[in-house]
Amino acid sequence: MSAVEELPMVVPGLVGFNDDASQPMLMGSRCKACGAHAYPYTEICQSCCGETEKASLGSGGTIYSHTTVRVKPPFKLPRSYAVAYIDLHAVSLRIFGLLDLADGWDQRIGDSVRLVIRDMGVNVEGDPCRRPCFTLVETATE
Amino acid sequence: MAAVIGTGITHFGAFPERSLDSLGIEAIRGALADAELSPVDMQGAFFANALGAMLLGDTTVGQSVCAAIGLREIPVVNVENACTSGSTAFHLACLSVDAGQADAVLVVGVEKMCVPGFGLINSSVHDVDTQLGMVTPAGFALRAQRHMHEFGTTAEQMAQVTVKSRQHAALNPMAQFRQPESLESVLSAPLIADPLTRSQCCPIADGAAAVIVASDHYASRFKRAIRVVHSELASGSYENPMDIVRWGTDYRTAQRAYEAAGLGPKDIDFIECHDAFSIAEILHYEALGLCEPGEGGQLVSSGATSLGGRIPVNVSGGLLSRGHPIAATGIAQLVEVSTQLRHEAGKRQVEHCQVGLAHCMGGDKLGDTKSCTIAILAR
Repeated sequence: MSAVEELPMVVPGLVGFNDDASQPMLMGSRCKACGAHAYPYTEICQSCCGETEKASLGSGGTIYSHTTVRVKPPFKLPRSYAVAYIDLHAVSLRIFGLLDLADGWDQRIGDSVRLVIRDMGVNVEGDPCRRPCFTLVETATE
Repeated sequence: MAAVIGTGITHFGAFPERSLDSLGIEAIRGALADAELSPVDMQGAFFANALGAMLLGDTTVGQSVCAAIGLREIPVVNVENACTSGSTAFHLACLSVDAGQADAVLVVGVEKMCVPGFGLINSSVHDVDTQLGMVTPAGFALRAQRHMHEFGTTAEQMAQVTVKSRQHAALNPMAQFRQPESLESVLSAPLIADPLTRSQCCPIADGAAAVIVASDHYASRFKRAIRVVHSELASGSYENPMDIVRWGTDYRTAQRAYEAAGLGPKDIDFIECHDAFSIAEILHYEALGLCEPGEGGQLVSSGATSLGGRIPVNVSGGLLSRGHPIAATGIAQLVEVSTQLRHEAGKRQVEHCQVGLAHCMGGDKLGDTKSCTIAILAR
């Protein structure tokens, strides 16, 4: 039986894995000179133009804001797809990402989320691909 | 710094039978007639067009349109700065005449974007955020959700921006959407990106606008000339984390413009601002210092920014109702500001106005705008 080939990531290098490969991690960069983090990876630090190195940005965050786009989805994304700005837990960075809308999640600002990978849409070449996505860990308490 | 001595504008809407060139020519001829000048009097042209290359396969459009009205050999700059293409062309024109490079130059913005299958606009296909689903309405919807969360802004307050916009546009014969729309209609329109309904998102449109910018010296013989007090152009900071409801780039550009002009918000009699979405206008009230951060929703509900109120905003109908042919918008705002300051705005005249402000933004990157312009004009 042949192994099922994974679809490519929408953009290479966005995601890595933890040591036992059980949890995907966001991959970005960290500046060797000033310590600023970036997502996605940048070769040169956008803050100080210093040299950077690849860095794991962890897998968890908190929703800062969210919305659902209901018309004209780009890249053959689902008809209604949800996105959010997420404050990462491991590093001081606010990132933009897709939300996994499975299980009827009624998203709220303050929800705690975790990175997953989903087959979703196509890339710029028009080929089916995977995208990093965030799923609910814990609903906001307020 | 400079002066506006002529204005011209086309209707805004969907015009499948009109070419990009014909729209530009109409606006230019309007501006020349308004100034009682001929093409041969123009010593340069700053030509704004944002999507011609992408949608129509056309580049260096400015020279083609200029040649069509007999303008050859003069320096022509083609400007693309997203929604600030027009206002950036104006900015360059002001610098040009102020530096003594020319006495009078043409500033034109043209867009033909009503093509079949036009999706939601994004800032750059190769930005990772775009490939993860960022589209401009989503960016503003994220601001709206956060503004409601932090300040208690309501859906009704945001919808009121559109209600006001339609009321104003009913008084503007060149506007795209001139029918009044009730609060209920705005709120029950189809959702584009929660909580923004279709009525709260500016339409795409074809159209053109033009102004003639002159040096102060050349303008002195034109009785209806309007003074350019200051023009400001800035880019985003893309800081992280980005506060998406106290919009740093917006506040910073406003502060710099006011400081350079020697004026404050209380000195401005009316404003044309970048109301691409209902929440955008509310955010710009706050950045322009018309109210405290978070109070923009209350401001529109109070009627203060309606015609007849303390500080009328988007009396032309704005992007929401006048329409938003991308590169024409920045110049359409200046046409409105000039018309108002000439006291020639008819039914939508802001009484006794002396000083007007045009504000525009363009592009999205990492939670910020890419470009921001503010121009202050006076009688």
